[in-house]
Amino acid sequence: MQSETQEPTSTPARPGVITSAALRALCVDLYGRPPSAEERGDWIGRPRKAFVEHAFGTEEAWRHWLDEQLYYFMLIDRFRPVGTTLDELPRLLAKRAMPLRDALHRIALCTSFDLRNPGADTFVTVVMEQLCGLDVTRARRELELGKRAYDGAKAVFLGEPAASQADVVKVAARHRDAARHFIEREHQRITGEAVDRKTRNKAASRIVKDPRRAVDLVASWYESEAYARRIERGRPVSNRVWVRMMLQDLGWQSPAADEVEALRSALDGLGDPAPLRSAIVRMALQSSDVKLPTPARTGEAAADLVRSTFDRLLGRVPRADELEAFGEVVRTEDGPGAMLYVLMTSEEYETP
Amino acid sequence: MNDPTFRPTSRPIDRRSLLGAGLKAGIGAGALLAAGPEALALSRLLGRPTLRPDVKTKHVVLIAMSGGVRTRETFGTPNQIPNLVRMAREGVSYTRLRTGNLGHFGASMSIITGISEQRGIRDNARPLDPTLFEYVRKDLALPASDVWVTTSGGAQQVNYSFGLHADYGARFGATTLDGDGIFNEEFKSLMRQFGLPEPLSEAERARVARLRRVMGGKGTDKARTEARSRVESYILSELGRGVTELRGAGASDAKALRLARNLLSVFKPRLIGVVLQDADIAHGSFNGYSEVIRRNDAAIGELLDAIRADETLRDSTTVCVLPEFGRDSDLNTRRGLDHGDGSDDLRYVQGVLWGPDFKTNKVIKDERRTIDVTPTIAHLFGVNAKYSKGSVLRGALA
Repeated sequence: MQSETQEPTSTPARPGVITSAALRALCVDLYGRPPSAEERGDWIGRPRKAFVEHAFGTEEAWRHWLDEQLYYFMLIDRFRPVGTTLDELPRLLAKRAMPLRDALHRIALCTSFDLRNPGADTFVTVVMEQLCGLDVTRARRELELGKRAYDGAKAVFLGEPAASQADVVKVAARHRDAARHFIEREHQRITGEAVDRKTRNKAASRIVKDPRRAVDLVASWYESEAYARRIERGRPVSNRVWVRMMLQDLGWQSPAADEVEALRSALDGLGDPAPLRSAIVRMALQSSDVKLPTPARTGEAAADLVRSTFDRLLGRVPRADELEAFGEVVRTEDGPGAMLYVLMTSEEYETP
Repeated sequence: MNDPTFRPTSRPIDRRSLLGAGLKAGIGAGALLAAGPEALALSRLLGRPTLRPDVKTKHVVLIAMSGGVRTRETFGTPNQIPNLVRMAREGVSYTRLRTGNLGHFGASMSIITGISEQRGIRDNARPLDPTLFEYVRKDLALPASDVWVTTSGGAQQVNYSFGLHADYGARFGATTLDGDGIFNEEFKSLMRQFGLPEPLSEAERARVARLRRVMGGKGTDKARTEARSRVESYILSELGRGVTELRGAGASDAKALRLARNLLSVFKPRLIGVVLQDADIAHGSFNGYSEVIRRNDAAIGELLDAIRADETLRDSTTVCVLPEFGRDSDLNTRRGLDHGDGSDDLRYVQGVLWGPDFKTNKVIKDERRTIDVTPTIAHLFGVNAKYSKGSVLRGALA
């Protein structure tokens, strides 16, 4: 992200072509991690559309999508589903063997969802709110009908017959409001912008008719002007993504999921995670597992190290004053570590 | 129980060392003074707002006993809550505080904004209105270390620290810690495995500050850097203490209450909010629910004992305790208690106000609302909770 007062630091990209910053944003949004060196070599300069098509065919992207959805439903910490049939969703979604609607349906059917939302009132309320985006205070009758169905009685819930907890989920997941709500929240999540009502309704009608088209719709948002603006603006990352970014930028290629979750949970426990993020970066930099760059011996080597690190971590070239200040520091014994600490605790790093 | 293998235990946590962390971060003496009662004289000299001289209360602990707690299992079963009963005897008890069943998240939020907030049960967003914490911090020009929130319900409850109102917001927010989120064994193990971060030396600190200035943005604000440094020091110190070891039914609530007690001892802040959640186990286990209530009562008792034992806090601290709503009248099919029947058991709760400015042994049976607590606390501090829809509970004042 660059502020308006900053001098231009790189050549403006052609529309739809992946820059260093764009690749970082795409990887963070689609995989929940920064790009690898190999990906940087493969994708910078190529069309965004090609990257999105590639990513949508990978299990990794859908694993991240599933993580995002589980977080949305607050199925985290002790409610995180482990060893369930949800584990196969990334594979099925990558092969396009399951519509997104059915994936959400399955999440709401899992035991963790039931444990997280115990009792008829809570369960039906959450299904109506989270799946369909309904305001239950304005839909009290539907809530009561849903609760009756949850308890096993026959009822007409959201216009469809229902007589069990599973029916409540099925009816809600297939409802037109669920399609609308999915479009609203996913468009906001991906582009950072609200979708207009007309576009939303039109798209919802299409995916209600043919649920398999939802994947193409979501893919198209990554190729849109709205997403180009998201890249330009930058966006704060969640604590989970920040942990994965930080660990992978320091060389842990596949951080253990339980370690990521432990750090994420701790950071989520703070109104302002900055103090703990700062401590975690220092902790990681002190670890013997991290191989820090060696101090630069010459001015030229220092400039190269600063440029490449800015490009890798922030997706841009340093300004002249940054090059000078950081160049001076990385020639000292513990200078490379100090540079990484400053960059990785900067607001810019946290808003790829 | 402290963990002897954990490094921070060798440095006992105290107010002096934590304020020292602020000094190392480069804060000036004036701002440090502003963190404590000594701030009053300085504030007056600087023409800054001060606490009401006609009110004895200088510190407030607001405990939202959330998770849904019926009066039947609290004051209706007094032997289960000896500490709350004692509090009520020494203070004022409201037997009919009306509340909306807005879901745990919205109902707890209503207590701290003073506005009935309709929010989704699993919403994960800030309130639109200012919170009590923002009113107090802004009007009294308090630093972040003077207003805290400890929570039990994880990521969602962290949203209580501040709202999105343009005149308030993050810069006046409470410093928020979720007990179970941070002080859990998994995180502590990781910290042990990696090794605690060494504090930056003076030279390193200066170098980092210079690089941050060149980059601009975060980290260049001295007061914010100091506040964050202090929080970091507190967390690292607290990880070596007993909070992490609290386990069993209601452990999350116990951690939030223990943190509040420790923060009160260390920082002596003006305001601490505590938001609990574990009572919601009642959906599936009535016995578990009762155990959570008993455990929370005991923890509240410890908090009160700590206040009574502290010379500074003893005669200047107010404690308010109330659930966000109750629970259904009848057991569900799983022999638990849900919250959705619209009964009086659900819609009315009993709350207690205890402190030097309240009457003693007073029971008020008139109907009031849970949203009245925020304007009442604001009144004690002499600040204006101007967007709150509640009213000051004047009947409780001595």
